[in-house]
Amino acid sequence: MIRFFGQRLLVMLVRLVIVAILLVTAIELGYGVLGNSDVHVWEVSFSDPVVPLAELSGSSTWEGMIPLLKSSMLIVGLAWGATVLVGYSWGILAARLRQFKGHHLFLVPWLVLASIPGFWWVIQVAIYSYFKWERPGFANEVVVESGPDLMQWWNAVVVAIPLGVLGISVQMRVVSERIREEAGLPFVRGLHRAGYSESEIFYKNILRRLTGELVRLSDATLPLILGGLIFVEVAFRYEGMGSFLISSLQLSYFPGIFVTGIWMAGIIGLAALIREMVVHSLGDD
Amino acid sequence: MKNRKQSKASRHSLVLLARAWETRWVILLALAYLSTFAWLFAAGTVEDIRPSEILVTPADPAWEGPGRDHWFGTTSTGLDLFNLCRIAMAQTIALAALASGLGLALAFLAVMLFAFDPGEKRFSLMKSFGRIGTLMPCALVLLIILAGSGGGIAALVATTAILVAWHLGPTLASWFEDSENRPDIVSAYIVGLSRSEIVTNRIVPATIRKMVGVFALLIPQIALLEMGLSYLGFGSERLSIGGLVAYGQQVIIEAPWLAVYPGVFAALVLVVMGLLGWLTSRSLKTGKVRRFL
Repeated sequence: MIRFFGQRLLVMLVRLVIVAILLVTAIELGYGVLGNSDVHVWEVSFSDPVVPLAELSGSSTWEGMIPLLKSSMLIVGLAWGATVLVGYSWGILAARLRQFKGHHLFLVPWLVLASIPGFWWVIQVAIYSYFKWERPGFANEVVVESGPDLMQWWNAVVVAIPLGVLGISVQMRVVSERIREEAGLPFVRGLHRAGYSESEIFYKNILRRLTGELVRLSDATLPLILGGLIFVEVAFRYEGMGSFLISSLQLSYFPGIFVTGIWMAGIIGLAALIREMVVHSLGDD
Repeated sequence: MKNRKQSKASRHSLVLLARAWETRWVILLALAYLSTFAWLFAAGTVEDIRPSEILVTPADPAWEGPGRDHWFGTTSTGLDLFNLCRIAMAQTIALAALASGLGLALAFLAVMLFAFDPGEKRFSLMKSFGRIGTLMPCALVLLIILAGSGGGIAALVATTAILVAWHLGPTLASWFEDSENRPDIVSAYIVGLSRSEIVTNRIVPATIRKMVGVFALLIPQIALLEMGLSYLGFGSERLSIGGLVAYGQQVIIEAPWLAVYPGVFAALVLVVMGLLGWLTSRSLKTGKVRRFL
């Protein structure tokens, strides 16, 4: 187990190094080559004041990034948690109902919701809360100075909902498709002929055989959630890593862009590492 | 006695009819898809519309709320918002179609570079490269390139196409590999057909058919991404729903319809195109395609 962990960790680190190289290349290509910028990636220093952070968290040192990291991690946790919980259960239910005509309609509500632009959705919430409750609608307009910061949770939930919906729509589809694929195999027909009930075949055979594969799908939506985070945070004026990235992009602050990219790749890589360990422990490599 | 042998022309037309009947759902869905395109493009062109000139708030704005004459209301310069949304959406969809078409063509070309190689690990390099791509959200790469380069159309289309090719290359490669295990392909090898004959005449047509389904699926996804990029201000000087919503956010108190209706319009069009794309992909039995944008 430890050997396997070491191997996978090494693979992940190599991939992260490649991602770092790709990020630096993309920054130089975007700003240096296509944008004719005077500053190049090899000329920047991480010890200079972090200008985009001064706007967002009031501190121009890298320590000012910690609250932004916490805020964004909260959103990622909420969105990914919802994706795993709802995506799997909805996908399994959709596959369970596969004998019924029109069972695909079961997936349609989430597919429709996922087509709504996330950045627009959070603006609508802001407009609604402004006109309905007569209080500022965007995330940066109320600062709770004493007592429990319930506004932080409200803001995080508003931002997490569109990301969660996007994740759920993908997760349930891949889960249900994989189960239906398995349910079409000849052994299922054999079990039916042998007299097993539908629920026994589904839960005790198909799902049990697929446990490892279903675990393998658990982190498939993380890149989507992290990519969507950038747009939704800015739209709701939520101070997190997405807003930091956009400020860095607008100010051509290369270290900020690089750090955000590595943070995203690190989360995705860590989730992949945990998933591989879980699958390995299930003996389903 | 009447000659019962059918003429060549009638035989061909019968075959054609039979094929059309087999693919009737795909044809119907493609027609619906194209009708949505046509409706959007019928609104006009973007040549004489500059966002910097129309998305400004003059001292005496001429905006009007939604009504019978203007379903979505008007902008501060008096332009009909519904028509503007149609024009903006048409441009976004055109860009999305161009980027996804180019991306798929690139992915196909990349796969064809290795397809004739008989080795079992011929696609392993492509797959390893694709796995690295999953560590980085595509939106991040696009944002970096567009923010640095000024957000021009060429940069958007080229970067999106490369990202599509990067992520879909391994999927196409796995279609090739799966096809080689099909009974008819194994039989073709046994009969003695050459590898190039099998790849060119049997595997490639089946793959191209599936690519049509992927193309239909990709368009709404890329359109959504383009709107997001324009919303963030990386859309250069082009009209987009994202830009309209961003402007609407600035005048949210004075003219809330400017932030509300473009989003409703975009969501409806994307829902229609997404469902049509999904059904087209199902009819063509495209199979699983990783959503990466």
